[in-house]
Amino acid sequence: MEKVKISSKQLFAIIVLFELGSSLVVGLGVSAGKDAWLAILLGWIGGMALLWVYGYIFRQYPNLPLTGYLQKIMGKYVGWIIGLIYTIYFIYLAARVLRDFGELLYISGYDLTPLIVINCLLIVTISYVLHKGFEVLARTGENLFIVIIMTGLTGILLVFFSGIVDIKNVLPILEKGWKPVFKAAFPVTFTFPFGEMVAFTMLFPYLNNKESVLKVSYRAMSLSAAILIFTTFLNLAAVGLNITSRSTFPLLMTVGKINIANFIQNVDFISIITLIIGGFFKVSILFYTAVMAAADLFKVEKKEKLVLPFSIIILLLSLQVANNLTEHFNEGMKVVPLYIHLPLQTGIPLLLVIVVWFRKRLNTV
Amino acid sequence: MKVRRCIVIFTVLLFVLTGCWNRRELSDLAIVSAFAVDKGTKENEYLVTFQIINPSENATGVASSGGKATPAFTVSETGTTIFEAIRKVSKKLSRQLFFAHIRLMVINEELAKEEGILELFDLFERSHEARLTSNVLIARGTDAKSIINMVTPLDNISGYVTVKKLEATEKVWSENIKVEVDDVINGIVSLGSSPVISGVRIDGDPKEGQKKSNLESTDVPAMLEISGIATFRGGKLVGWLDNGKAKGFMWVKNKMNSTIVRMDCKKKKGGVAIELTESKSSIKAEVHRKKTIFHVDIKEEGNVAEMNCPADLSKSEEIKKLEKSLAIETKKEVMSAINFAQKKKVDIFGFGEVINREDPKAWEKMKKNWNADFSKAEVKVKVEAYIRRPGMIMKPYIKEVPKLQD
Repeated sequence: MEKVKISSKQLFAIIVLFELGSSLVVGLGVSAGKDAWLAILLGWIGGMALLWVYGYIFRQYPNLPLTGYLQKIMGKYVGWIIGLIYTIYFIYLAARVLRDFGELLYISGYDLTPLIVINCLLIVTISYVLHKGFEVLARTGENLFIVIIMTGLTGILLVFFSGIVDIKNVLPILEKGWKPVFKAAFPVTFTFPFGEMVAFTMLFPYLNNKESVLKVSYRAMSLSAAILIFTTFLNLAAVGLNITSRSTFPLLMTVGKINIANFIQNVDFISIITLIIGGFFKVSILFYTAVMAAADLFKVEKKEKLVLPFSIIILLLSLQVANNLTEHFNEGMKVVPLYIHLPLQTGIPLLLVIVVWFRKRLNTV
Repeated sequence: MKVRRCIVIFTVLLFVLTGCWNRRELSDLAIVSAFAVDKGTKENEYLVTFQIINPSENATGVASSGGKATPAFTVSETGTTIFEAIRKVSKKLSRQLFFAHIRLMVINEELAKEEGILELFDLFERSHEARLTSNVLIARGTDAKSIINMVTPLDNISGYVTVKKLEATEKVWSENIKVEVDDVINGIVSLGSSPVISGVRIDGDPKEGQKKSNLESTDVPAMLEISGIATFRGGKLVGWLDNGKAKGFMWVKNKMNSTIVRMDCKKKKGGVAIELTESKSSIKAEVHRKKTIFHVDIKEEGNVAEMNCPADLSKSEEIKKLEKSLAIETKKEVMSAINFAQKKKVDIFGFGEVINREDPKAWEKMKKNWNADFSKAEVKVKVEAYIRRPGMIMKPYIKEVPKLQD
């Protein structure tokens, strides 16, 4: 098995970019009202636990990807079929995220460009990078991580200097108790974006510095959670719960409010750059994991060959997943987390852990 | 082989790199600086007027030599929605309207009174061109169209000028509040506070104001003046806050930047002018079973700006006296604003939101008939006023004027 040489720094960068990808744009956890940020906090705690689960299985089979140990644990046939389901899941997720970004660009700037053209441009770039290999993607990630942090910080400073942040908008905390917060955290913020780390179970065994992989993942996940919590807090404080919860992309509303001395204004590009970079990585990684999974299942030697057909599938699927934005969002926030994310991100991995644990017990006794 | 490859790649690039999908050149855009909404002739119709910047008249250097046209002009069109009017205007205009630089929206007073403002702001949220940072004003005593029709001195484009005036007066006089579209929306949808919008009127003859000759006399025939704060209930204009009431409102709302407080001294009414430099207010709510009490605490600081009575400010008793009457004066204006709001049953201060923050459970029960409860609530105002320094002089010269004997 070939090893991908990427440093801890690069891994850290791509995990953060992956987590922030699409979650930064959509109003995450707004069903919890003013406590949306608390819902993300809870989601993060759940996500960390989940990462521990993935880490546990990974430590048992440090040289096998998800599709590999599925066959080892669940038996050859059942494991293979579940592996195939995961492959489809990754393709589907990549298509969904691609759609998110197509829609975002369409709404915010390219209002007459057909969606297929926007998505096509994105997928062509992504395929090119993936064709060059995962190391290229990782190096790009390392560089763009700096860009995203710089633009992010600039954006935050500008929002503060505009004097539009009013903490009163976020108070009272826990207005309606913990119940709505839990409801928003499980399943939504827990599975999206934190649970989506399941994609990395396909990547971990191929990385060359296995000892630090999990440590780096925990850290990267915590940083992305902090950024998400802060951004959500900022959205709520700047434009208020009402607009945050009603708008399609709350972050764009907040950044649109930036106005310093009537001179620095209309700086929407800040949010758009951040989002395009994040989206690029999210689609790329999901796309790549899908390719890896398929290559592993069907024993394809040269996985570069899979990039082109997969890109076409993802592109067409991204256009087909929903008829309109409303439908797309409803699926993403209501149907997908409960019926697709939960079983695949939590259910099956937990099952694997239990099976592995029992087997170990039986073997030692 | 290589040459062939190159040709293929370049042909593909030729199609890909043609530029933007629906490009609009600058010369095809009409940049809108402000727009006004009046009632249309038919029922349910709005008359929307757009103020469009005349680019050649605003270029530096050219304007002074040419100067034939006005710096901005307006076009009107009717529609049941604003966007309909935007597109309909194309019949009259050689360029397409472009909204990214819009700064002001003016709403007709009659329209605000009779039909309300609830339905006017969707476009700002939905469109990616229009911004939530646009300012909103109510045209007072005239139609909204005339406001943006004005030709103004000092700065050219009346839409921008009006916003600048609003900002300037909010800063040094604090009788008006700068309200942006999202503030209005948040006010409209909130149960615990109602929106306010400042007013603008024409001081002079509106007909004169739209001509370029408005600029050709030193005593400008018509001027735009920011005036009053409009209050709304259920999206309909119910009354105006003016002068002291408007200031009182700003005090409670913690928006008081600086203003002049007029006070009496022994001999002369209104002989002392205190310049406020700082003011902070905090509102606390006390919910009892039968009654709600609000505590409004105001802390303010000021300097003596002008003093036309013989008081020696080097003595601290005199300063204490001034501080005391400053507090009384402030309280008077604050109470007038509160009385007005309670009489009209409009919670312009956001007292409801205070309860919501402090006692969410009580608010759950109260929010249904909050407007009625608000008018019955007791408001206790406490003002702490400090006068920090008397300026460059301690004793006013008035005190030194020798008494002439006939």
